[in-house]
Amino acid sequence: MILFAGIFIMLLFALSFVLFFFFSQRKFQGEQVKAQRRELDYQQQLLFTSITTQEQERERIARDLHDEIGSKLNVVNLHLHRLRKSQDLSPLGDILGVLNQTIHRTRQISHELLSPTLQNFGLVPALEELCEQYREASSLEVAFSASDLKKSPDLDTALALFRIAQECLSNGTKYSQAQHLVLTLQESPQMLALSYRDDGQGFDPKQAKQGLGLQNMESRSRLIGADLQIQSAPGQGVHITVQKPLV
Amino acid sequence: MVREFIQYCTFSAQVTLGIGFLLWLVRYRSLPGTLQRMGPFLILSILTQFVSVYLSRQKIPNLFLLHYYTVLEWVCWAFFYAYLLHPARFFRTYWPLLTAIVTALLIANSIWLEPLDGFNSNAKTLVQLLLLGASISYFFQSFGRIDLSRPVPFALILINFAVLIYYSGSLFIFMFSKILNQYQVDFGQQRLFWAINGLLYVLFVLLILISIWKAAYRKTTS
Repeated sequence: MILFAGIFIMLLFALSFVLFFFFSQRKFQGEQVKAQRRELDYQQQLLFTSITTQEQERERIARDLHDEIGSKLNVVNLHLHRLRKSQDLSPLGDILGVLNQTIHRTRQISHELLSPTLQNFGLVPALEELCEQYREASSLEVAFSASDLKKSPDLDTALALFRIAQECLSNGTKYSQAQHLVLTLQESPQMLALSYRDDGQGFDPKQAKQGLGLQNMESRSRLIGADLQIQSAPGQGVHITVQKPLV
Repeated sequence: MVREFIQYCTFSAQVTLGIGFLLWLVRYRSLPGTLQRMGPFLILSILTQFVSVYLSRQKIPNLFLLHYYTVLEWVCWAFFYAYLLHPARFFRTYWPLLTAIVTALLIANSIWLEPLDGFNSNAKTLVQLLLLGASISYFFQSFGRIDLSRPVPFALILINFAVLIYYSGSLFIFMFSKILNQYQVDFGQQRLFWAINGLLYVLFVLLILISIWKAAYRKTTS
């Protein structure tokens, strides 16, 4: 009788083990498929965002060229025609003024597209300059601090971090209603970390995930193999960190 | 009636093993490496089945076969699991050593501890426990890493299922076979245990046949 019970219990154990394995495995596989599908959807969304952003950027450049450069060159053209007809040199001052404005604006557009400081001097001076620009353009306190970088990051990484910082500061000045914006760049032997913090109204990151700006940040982080973390809640400011492993 | 049931089980197991072996032989090239390694066990099982039936018909005691079978059964399964459990570092490092030590122990047991004319409960129990361990290790190793909708992983799970069910079910039967014999427990009652063992063995070889079938006739992309 005891032997029968032993055999029965062993069989029961074996059967339960296999059934448990089978159902857990199926459930696990189902979860994996769902996660893969979610990841694929997300990738598609990021791609869509990237294309949309590219188109918007082209539109902005076209508008800038048309409205700012084209219109000013038209003014110069008109002045030059008048000059040729009347032989009166008095509009020359105006022409030079408009040409100076055009040169200045062209430089601005070019800087907006790619910061020369970033290219020539690296990430830290470029971020310093960026903060300075936002400080001048708004009434907010924009602080920047950085640790000494042992080795400056490659241009792709630097550009991605620069763009993320630009997006953070742009959102911070436009929407946050903050008084202080703080940008920091820290390097440890394992990690290069960019951090942005403000004391503004904050937002719900789950709802804001649909926005182009945040998706762009996510997209750029992934491109350089960095991890983007957004911590915020209504009324509690925003804290964004981008951490790129160095090893 | 129990005696007839055991005979039916023996016959069914022989037929199933025969089909399994033929399938393995014919479709050898299309089988994955792991299942190709099932061959030695299939050959050993068929040979043991036929020799034991022949000896019992000739009224010659065939219990010594169990001793040979246990050693070779261990070697065959060790050969199979060496390939199957290869990704795990522990098995990669220690499995060949364990195989050698256990084989030596089994042989020593049959020479000095449990003579060839009796049951080899110690040896059989050791082999069964080790195979149960290997099978459970495979289940743990493959969890979350295999796709059960694909034929080869499914076939391998089926084989391990067979090992788990058969060796856990028959563990107590072989463990106590010597004691039952020593205490001269009623033959009718003993036969009942061997009937359970026979039934489990049919299920065991049937699951092995299904797994070979599944892997042999899977759709391959080339």
